Amino acid sequence: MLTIKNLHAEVEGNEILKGINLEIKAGEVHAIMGPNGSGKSTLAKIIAGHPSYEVTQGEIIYEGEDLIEMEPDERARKGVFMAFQYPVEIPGVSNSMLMREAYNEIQKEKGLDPLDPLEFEDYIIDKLNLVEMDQKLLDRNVNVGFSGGEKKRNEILQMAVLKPKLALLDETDSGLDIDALRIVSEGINKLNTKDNAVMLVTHYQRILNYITPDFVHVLVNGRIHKSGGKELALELEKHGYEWVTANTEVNGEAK
Amino acid sequence: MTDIAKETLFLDRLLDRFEAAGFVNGKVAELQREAAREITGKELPTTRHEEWKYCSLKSLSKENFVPAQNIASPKVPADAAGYIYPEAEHHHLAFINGVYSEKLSKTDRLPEGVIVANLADVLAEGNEVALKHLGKYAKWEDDPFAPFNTAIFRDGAFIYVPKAVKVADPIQLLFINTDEREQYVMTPRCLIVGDRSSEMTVVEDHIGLGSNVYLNCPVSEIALAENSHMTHVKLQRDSKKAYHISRLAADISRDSDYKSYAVQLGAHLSRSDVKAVLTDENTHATLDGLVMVNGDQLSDTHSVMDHTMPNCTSHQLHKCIIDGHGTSVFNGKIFVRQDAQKTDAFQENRNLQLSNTGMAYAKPQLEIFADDVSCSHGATIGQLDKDEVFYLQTRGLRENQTREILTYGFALDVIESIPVPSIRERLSKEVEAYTHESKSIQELA
Amino acid sequence: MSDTQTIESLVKQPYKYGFKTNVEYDYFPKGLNEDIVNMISDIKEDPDFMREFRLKAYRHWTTMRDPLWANIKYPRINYDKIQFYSAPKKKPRLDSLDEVDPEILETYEKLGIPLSEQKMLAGVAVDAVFDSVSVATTFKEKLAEAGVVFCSISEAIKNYPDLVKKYMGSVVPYNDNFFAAMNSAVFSDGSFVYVPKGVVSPMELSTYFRINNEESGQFERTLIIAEEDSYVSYLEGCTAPMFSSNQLHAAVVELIALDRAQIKYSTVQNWYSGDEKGVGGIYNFVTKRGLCKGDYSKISWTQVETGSAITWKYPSVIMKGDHSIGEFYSVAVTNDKMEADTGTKMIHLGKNTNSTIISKGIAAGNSQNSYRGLVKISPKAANSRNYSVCDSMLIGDRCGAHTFPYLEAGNNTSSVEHEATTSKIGEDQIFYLQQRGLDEEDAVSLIINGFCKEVFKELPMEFAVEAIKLLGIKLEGSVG
Ligand SMILES: Nc1ncnc2c1ncn2[C@@H]1O[C@H](COP(=O)(O)OP(=O)(O)O)[C@@H](O)[C@H]1O
Ligand SMILES: [Mg+2]
Repeated sequence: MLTIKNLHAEVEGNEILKGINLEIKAGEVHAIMGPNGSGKSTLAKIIAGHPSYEVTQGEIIYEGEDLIEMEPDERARKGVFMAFQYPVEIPGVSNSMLMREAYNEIQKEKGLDPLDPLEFEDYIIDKLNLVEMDQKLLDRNVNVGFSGGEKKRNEILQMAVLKPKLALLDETDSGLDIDALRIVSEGINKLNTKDNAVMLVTHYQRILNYITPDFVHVLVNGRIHKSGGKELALELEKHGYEWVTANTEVNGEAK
Repeated sequence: MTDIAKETLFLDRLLDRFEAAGFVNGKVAELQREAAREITGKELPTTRHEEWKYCSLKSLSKENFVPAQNIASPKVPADAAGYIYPEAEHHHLAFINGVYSEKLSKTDRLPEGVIVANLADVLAEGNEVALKHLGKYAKWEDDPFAPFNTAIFRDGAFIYVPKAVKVADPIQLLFINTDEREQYVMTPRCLIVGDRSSEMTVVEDHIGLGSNVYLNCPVSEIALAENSHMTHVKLQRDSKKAYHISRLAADISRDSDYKSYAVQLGAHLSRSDVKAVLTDENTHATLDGLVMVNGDQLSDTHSVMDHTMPNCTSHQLHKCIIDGHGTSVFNGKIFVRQDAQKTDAFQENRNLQLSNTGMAYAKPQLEIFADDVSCSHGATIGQLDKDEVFYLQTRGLRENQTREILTYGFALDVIESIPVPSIRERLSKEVEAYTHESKSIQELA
Repeated sequence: MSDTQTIESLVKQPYKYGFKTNVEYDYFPKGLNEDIVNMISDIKEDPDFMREFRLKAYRHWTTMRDPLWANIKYPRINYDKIQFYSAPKKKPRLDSLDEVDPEILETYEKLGIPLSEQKMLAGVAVDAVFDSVSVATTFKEKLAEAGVVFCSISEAIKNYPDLVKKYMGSVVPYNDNFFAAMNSAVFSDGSFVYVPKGVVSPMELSTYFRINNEESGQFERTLIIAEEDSYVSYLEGCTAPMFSSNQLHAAVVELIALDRAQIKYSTVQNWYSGDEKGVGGIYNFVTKRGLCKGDYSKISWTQVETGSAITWKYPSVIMKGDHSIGEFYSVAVTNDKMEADTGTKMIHLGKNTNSTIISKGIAAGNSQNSYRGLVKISPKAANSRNYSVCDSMLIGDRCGAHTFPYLEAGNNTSSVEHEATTSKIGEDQIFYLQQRGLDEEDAVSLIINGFCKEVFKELPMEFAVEAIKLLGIKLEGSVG
């Protein structure tokens, strides 16, 4: 589904990603772990097409197409979804209206009829239950005045509504208490099928108790130093990130 | 209309009474002559002038003043030294009616290279730093008072803190204005220069001892080099019949930080124009203020926060309490120039109107020419919160007590930011006295 | 392409209403003097009181100067070069559309304001003013049944002289300001509305202004009187052709609300604003003021200002009656070299009066957008309240946003609260919306409409849709 080859990227002249290789297939869950500032969010944002980051080398192939030249909205309509580490507040724009617009854009792309507000309301109620979110938050402005936890749930709600093929979840677990973490994780699990894939960016091992990754990659200083199965996360928890850098050659390749 | 030809203009009349200060340095003499030329023939601004809309100088123009130096033996009380704050025990300059008093001043224990001295002496010695900065910052369009001070000033304060030096204790500039029969005018001048990475706290204190009429027209210039830090506290406790018209300009360089706390309590008419220019990146300025008026006092603050470069922040909290027939005016301008991207500017003006006969005027002003900025201002005019009054009453306090407490609380957040404990104490007493005397509070109860 | 560039290219969109209609005019000498004022009075067959009003205003005007305090810059206007009166030659008989020049009817059709019986906008009565003259008013009979008078001001002067005499100049005196004095001397037409006691107007009333003549100024005058317990909602729209010269528009609007009456006045102003380089466009100097004369009365201004090279406009409310309410909701968009200095005055005189100001300014291109507002609580206006919010949004770094609020309060039972913020359309906001599949244009317009939402919700439905579209036109376009 997604193949990243030798990806280098910079922002304001600083190289942040220094040769990333990654292959994600349908049905897989990949966890990207690493210390703060290692480039995890950068990787997710680049896949989603954030304009601040410049790809200087390498390629990102998604479903056989090169993503790099595509506008972010085009990528989104093709099924790339990103749950933001810091969801953005948009005053004056209602949450439910945004989701309906976004959903209908995808319907249009597929040649299907858009849903009117009433139909959409029926559609969204189920999804609300999935993340146990209060319906009131639908009428509020996007993320404005939401608590940290509400913002993160709202991201997963949007994921549930838009049904992406590739979900990039950037630290969706950070800042959540145990109950919220469980709810969000279960939501993500329910959305996970053999046809779609998840790239789960996280700083902590905790969420992996709920979501079992097929692969774990350790990103340090813009490079993937080590890749492995779910047991790698446990080792990381035990030994810390230094253990990875001390034990691998720079340029460790991921499968 | 008055016949200008026949009646000499107020400023001309005043200028005439002053002899040239007699600075031997050509540069200073020229600066003074130029300033005198600028105001010669100039009328005082009227309320038709936008910047003077709410501040009439009519009564001032009718007063007759003599230069303060002319008063041969001012009535200085024996305990004048009592006005020195304990924190400033070792370094303070004192001025009686604007004239430097060596006897009351003390500049002990200053770190190597620090200068705290009478400006007139420093200029006479030809101090390069003083000559370089003097007159460079105190400039206002159309304003007669900054040039008035420049034209005739003689004594004042000069403070210089060299590179990487920290003056730990506050430096106090004490201006004692005595109770005299003659109406006098004084124009003290302050020049404060902080070199790279320097740190200092300066307390400027204007005290009127009587309830006489005089005109106090001070000008302060502040120049902060890179990475320096300065805290500036100004207390204006001039006589309740005095005119206090002051100008303050601060020029702030890269990575520097200037914090000003101005408290205006005295004067019949107080007008202060304050300007902070953030000349380079990563600078910060605070211009906080507290104003309390009562009787027929008028207090007018005009401020300019000028953001010229990116990534700077500014903070302004200006609070006014209005009682009796008092009037408070706040005109706060924030400029964000085209290059000043990522500016974060905050301004809040709150007015507490205790009496039904006072007036509050607020004109906060944003002028933004850069797009990636976050600027906000808020202004409110109102009364004590009814719920808060009620809450305290249910706890058994009398209504006038609750009002006193809440008024005190209103003033408190400006006072609390002031880093000199004995000034905070002094101010707390002033606020207490003010609320205690407040007729409005008593009437309401 | 950076986001800023993209947003800027989004805000460029050609002016749709820039065509000129070919009609013949009764030409008039240029400049302003007593003879001209008398000639206008002659043509209008003014009664004596009207002629005197004009002459008094003219004489006062000669002693006044252009106001210079606003934050706008324009070359001094040479009033000798302006034609102070202009009317299409074919004189319409006011009660029959057949008599209106077909070219003019077509013009209004093109503008989306059909005047012919079959096509009239349902639920909205329209008074169409072409250059300086009212050419048609629709739904007159239906309104007459309810007792509502809706006609041109010229007709009102003839048919309701007492009302006109009593109220004209009572809110905006002839000597109020330079442009009001000028208008009082030369106004040629405009709309008149009278809602009798207890009547709720059965439909929205609307005037559609069109400047067509390149050399004439437009000086219309509107007077709306709402008697006790009545209600009326009035809409105003404006467009003009594109000329490389500037046209002067100096209107006066007076509203009077008696006890418990309510007047809602909405404007969508889309005069030609000049081109990218600042050539051409309307100079819009307008005095709009409402008087809440009666207790419990309410006047509400809503404006969407998207056009004019220069806008100088402060719709105000004087709250004289106790418990009266004044409101001002505004969206002002400036682009290219436009300059807008607009806002309101809320004057609290009565007790327990209440005012609200919501102002949203959007500046793009090289434009300057200023909010200027006065809130004045007089010592007698006990227990009064004002709440103001003035938000600005900048698009690009060559424009300016300015906020000049004046707050004055003179008693200790009232409160004034003012807040202002400045922000930009953040790159992160756009990216977030794009990540959800919206294209950049939609993302920008969504954010802008969100920014203006509180104002749009005050517009009558029919107008809200148009206003949102208009803003879209002004601020969207092809991503280039
Ligand atoms: N927009 C940006 N501008 C400048 N530096 C950035 C930007 N985004 C990220 N960086 C820098 O890139 C590095 C990686 O950041 P990020 O991808 O957010 O790390 P992580 O998500 O792993 O904590 C950090 O050093 C960060 O400061
Ligand atoms: Mg991150």
